[in-house]
Amino acid sequence: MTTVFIAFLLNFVVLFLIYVIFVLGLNIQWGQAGILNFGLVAFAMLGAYITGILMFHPTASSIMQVGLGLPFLVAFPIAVAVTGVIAWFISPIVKFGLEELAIITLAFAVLVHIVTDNEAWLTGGTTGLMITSNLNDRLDVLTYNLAFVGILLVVALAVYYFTRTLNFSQFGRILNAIRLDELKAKSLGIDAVSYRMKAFVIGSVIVAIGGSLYLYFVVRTVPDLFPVDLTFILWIALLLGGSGNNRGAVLGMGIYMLLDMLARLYLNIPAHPEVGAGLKYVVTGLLLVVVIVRRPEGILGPRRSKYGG
Amino acid sequence: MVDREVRTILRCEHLSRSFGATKAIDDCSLEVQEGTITSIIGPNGAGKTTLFNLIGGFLRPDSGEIYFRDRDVTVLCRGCKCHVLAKIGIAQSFQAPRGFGEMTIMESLMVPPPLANDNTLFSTLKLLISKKDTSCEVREKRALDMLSGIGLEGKRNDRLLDQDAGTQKLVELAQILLLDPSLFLLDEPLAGVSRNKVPLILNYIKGLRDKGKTIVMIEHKMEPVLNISDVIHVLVNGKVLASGSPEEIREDQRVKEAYLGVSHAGT
Repeated sequence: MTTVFIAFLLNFVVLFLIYVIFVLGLNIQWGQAGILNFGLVAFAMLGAYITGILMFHPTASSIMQVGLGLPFLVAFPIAVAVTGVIAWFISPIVKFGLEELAIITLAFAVLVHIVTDNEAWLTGGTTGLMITSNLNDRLDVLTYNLAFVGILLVVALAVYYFTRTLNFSQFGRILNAIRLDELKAKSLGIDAVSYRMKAFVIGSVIVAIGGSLYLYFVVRTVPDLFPVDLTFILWIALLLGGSGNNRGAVLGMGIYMLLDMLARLYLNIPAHPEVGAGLKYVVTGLLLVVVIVRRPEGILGPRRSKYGG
Repeated sequence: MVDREVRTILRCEHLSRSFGATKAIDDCSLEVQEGTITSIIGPNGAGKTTLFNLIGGFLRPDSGEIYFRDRDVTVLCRGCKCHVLAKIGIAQSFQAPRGFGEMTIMESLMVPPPLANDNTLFSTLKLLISKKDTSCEVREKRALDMLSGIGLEGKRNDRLLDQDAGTQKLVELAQILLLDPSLFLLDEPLAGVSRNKVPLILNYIKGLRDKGKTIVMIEHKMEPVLNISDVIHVLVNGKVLASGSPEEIREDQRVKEAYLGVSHAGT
């Protein structure tokens, strides 16, 4: 009982750390550069699925016919880089306004989802994509979860350090300037579109890192592991904590995960499992409304620079 | 003709721009000589700000050409490439001051411009390893010097959007000064500025001219306009009604009728 419970908790911590990586990516795009991305989950999917395809060993009988059988440490950087290139190809969309971006990015996420759902030869489709993982084969549940808490803690801290450095650098300052007044930034000789494109790619790469590690942790993935509404969970977390603020992003994610965990533990009505899940959204939604009404800039407020404020 | 003084830095030819049925700028041609202070005056709705927005690349002209140092920059203006125009030396301040309101005054002065060879993304990656950021130190020093120049050191850590319009105007001017362009387009640099700061701004403008910079400004305060301008263009209904020295403009009968006589007569 206790082992199961500890594994359950560790599982939550792992998920929290993966989501933290996602939300830090979103924070660069929205919190700093002001790029609206309702399709963030697509880049997590790309990171996960490209990693999966690179690692998969195809056999004559497997549904999935593509795979290179590479080890994770080789597949991971390739998958992240390829996702970065894909993001770079579509990054010119940042020229568009918020409304257009909302539709384009959401459509992109749905598109990626449909393709992974249907092109079973490439992605395993709804049957799923399963990779072989040494860690998974050798370690028991508890150690496995513990190992991943360690791995993800290191990666999440590295990502946090990177986004923090970016935030307070001249690059971050310019991104913030563009978000606050794009025309004014341009009038000061700043190529706003180019900066926003870079921010879009950097954010997507960070999300792909999270996605790739997510697959490595769960070993087997189906498209529904990355539901389109995952993006909005990340948005809620960011808006709760304070967009533009890395600490706020982490805090918001923490609050969401805590609510999620409490809902699963205490709102679990065996006959009606959907009630607990539904109530979680109700509570999160109420919290978001309260925060937006009482403190529109989020719990921790916007980013603070070392030049006061 | 060979004289440096009479080199044309900006030439607009037959510029037109309409908003619906309103012709804001109507076949407007004018020239600006390098190293001068040129003022554009005219009644409200004459098209002054529209003209600036066309030259600065914020609005597309319907027709006509714009030349900057004999280079045809109409394509840049048409493509709204104002950041390229800013890089080649045309900088604009706005009528209603624009800034990065949530930033502090200090930080908003650290935004412009890209320093030479300053690849900000690459220097960010370097920051991951080393704490020393030389280009940031250079920026910081320039911003501090500029702050003491405009007398706002005390407010360096205050948010820009909490300031009055005059202070915001000053900060905007400072941002443009940091950009160091050769052509300044100043849209009502004195509007909203407190009386005691007016001489400061006028001295800055005169100092810029002494350094060989060119200033084109839109201004409604007639006394400073007549005092510091080398050339005045009077814009009425999107056309240049008259051009000349302050003395000529003061005596021009058409200008008196169209503008000076109707509104405040100045001196």
